[in-house]
Amino acid sequence: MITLTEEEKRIIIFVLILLLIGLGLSFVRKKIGTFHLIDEETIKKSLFRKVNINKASIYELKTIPNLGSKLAEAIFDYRENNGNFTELEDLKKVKGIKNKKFEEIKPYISLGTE
Amino acid sequence: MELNKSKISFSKSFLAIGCSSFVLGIVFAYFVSLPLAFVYLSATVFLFLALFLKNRQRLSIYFILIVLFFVGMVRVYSFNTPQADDISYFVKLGAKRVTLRGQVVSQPEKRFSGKSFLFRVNSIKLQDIFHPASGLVLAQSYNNKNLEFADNAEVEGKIILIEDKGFFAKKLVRQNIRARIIIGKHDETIVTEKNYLNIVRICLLVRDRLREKLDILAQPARGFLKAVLLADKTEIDEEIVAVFRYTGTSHILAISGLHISIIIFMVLIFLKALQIKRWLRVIILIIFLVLYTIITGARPSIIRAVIMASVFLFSFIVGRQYNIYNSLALAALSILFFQPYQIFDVGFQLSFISVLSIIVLTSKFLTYLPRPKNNFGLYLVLSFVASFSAWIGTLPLIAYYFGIIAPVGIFANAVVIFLTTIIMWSGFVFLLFSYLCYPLAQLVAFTIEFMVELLIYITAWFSKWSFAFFYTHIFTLRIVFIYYIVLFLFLNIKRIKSSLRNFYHQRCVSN
Repeated sequence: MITLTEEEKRIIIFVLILLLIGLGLSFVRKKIGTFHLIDEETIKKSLFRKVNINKASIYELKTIPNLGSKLAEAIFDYRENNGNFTELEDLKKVKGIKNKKFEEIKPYISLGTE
Repeated sequence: MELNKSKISFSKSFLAIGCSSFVLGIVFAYFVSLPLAFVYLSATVFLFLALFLKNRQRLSIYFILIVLFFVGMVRVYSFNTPQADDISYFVKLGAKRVTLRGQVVSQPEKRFSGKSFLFRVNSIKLQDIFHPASGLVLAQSYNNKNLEFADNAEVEGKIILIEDKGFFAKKLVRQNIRARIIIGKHDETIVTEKNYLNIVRICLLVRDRLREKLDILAQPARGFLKAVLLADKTEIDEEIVAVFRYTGTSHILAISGLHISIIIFMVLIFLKALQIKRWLRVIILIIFLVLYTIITGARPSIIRAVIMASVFLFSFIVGRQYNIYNSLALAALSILFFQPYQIFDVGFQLSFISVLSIIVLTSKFLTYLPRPKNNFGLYLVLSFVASFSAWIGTLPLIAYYFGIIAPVGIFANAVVIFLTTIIMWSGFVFLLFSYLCYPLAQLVAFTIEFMVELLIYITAWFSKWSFAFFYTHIFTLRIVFIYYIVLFLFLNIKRIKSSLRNFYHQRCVSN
């Protein structure tokens, strides 16, 4: 007869619980299909705060949805070399930001003057 | 009597104090440029003074601290000075299209339409003759030659000097990467030698296999588990990273002390079950941790955690008392000696400051709280206080770098850490079953997918709180310094008061 230590017993119970929950979820999936507790839109809404492009750090700029880290670095470098942006449209002067990209990020940025 | 006590703690934590001196030297050298010969000579003079005055212990220690300050400076200056045959010199002399011989020293990763990797140069071809050369270059390859880590190769391409301008370029220069080579579609790449037995290469192969196993999971669980188990954040969505960042819990996505402690616990249980002797268990564990560090890409937070854990485990074997400040200092020194500019890296700073504040502040705050009667109460109090301590310690840095203050992090961390621990455990069970019994692995996968979604749901819920987080730009570098000075004074208020009292008392007596 194998004798198990307290720790080993706990691990076996933990694994059994994992398998049991997994079994239950597989039944639920069969009945109602794949489900999600949260979607991308809800996350975006819960985080929505406009980023001030004149004061934002490089890391803050990277949080702007639809921008990407490469363009965030380009905005940061442009601001370092040319000073603050006087209007939002000035962003189009940054290498890599065309009309389409500008419209995508416009809702998430501000100049901090509002 | 009090002086004796301070002497003992001073000598016990000498490495920690010495490390601070070394760090100050690095920072000073970054801003002030002095002749290398002068700094080197000063270090030598103070070292001789320290040896000469070794009978006057305290004075001798101060001189050693000054020596370490200068050593920090020397390290920066020598790091900044490329070798005489550095590849950047050849580029400055006009080399444009070149053939380089050397070794691939990072795993090639997809970047734009090609692959990007680091290449350590051994020689450069000039006028059909190979000349010795050295240094690291960032290679961007667009041809379909499949290079792998540790391959010795000959690459042809256009070489460009990296100037210290722009965010990305500065980052590269700080890693001593001063040139990049663009290998075009029709440029030649020849693999001269495959190093199959390279230990790093084997570790990376293991990482690829584990990645493949985790691919069974659906998103966002796949991205999350790859981040917390393999330090691979490439598949985790930006929105999810943002949720953790805005709730002050983003540290959970970067492998650090928490993750390493969970791994140690798991491996130890496994080794215990095999009934291996205690000292052998510790040695196996240390070797495992070193390999794990390589598998996860040896980032500063991982190296820090692994060094601290290894020192702790080693002190256990040799029967020496463990000093947490010294082990933290050893970790910092080990990283900064090879990469002094890591001191300016946000990840490095957050990793060390958070651990330091947990060590210092938690015990301080706990003295003001009543001791809970049961284990669950103790767990709750400890997690809350540790979370609060880390928040207090990292607040100015996070506000300075990210422009965010997230008070919700104090509460969110306790929940997020608890859930992540369970998810990591489940991840290991999943990996084990994926090799042993696929149907069972699939059941565990369903549970993990649910738990990760639950974790994100709860974190997003925290971010909706009205005071959850706010943007701020008031934290300039000066305010960050003032904050830490005030914090230091607050922590040492009793000692300062008693020193002042002693000082006045002595003056009164002498008058």
